[in-house]
Amino acid sequence: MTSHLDSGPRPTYASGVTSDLDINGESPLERRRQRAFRIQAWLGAGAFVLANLALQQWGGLGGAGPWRLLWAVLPLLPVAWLVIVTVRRVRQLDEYQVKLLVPGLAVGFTATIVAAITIGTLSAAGFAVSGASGWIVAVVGLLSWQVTNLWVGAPTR
Amino acid sequence: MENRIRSEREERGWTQAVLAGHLGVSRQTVVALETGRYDPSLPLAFRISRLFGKDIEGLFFPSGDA
Repeated sequence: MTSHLDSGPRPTYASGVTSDLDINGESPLERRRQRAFRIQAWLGAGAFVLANLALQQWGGLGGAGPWRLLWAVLPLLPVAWLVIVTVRRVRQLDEYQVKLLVPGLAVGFTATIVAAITIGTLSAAGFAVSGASGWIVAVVGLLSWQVTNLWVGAPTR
Repeated sequence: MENRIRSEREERGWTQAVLAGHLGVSRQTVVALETGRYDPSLPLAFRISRLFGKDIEGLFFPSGDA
């Protein structure tokens, strides 16, 4: 017998939980890091939505005003913040978590390239391509990336 | 590879989260190590062996050599 937990038959536990000692969730440090990342990411996402709403409202889209470019790049500021937050979070991950991120990045990158080339080829062949093709590429990339992350159990928080 | 991380942890009465805290990794990683889904890098294997006060050979062994 190696511990008090080994007396009697071993009960069945949920995935990854191997004994009565395993019911407490993540370590306090990991929980703090996850919480900080969630807050920072949601702030960035909220700022992105607000920046887009402001762009639609006051950006003079379709016009020729001199401030058009500044308005157009305004949503990129929260995107830059999201990139910084994500890079910081990735640097906190341990070796196994980083390994789990690779399949999602590979699939997301491949899907993005395939979507971009498909749209480019269709356009070159004379098909009418939606003006929102850039968004289509972005959505395809994001979806394939996140679905793969869920599939392999990559850390998404 | 197989390992004795789980039995060593349980002998000390540690949760997976406590072991994760000692090693500076996530609980998800501890679960993967204990269930044999992931073989650690040498630096992490040395951290684990130092934490439990055992040689690496005493903690990790090829499958079937238990």
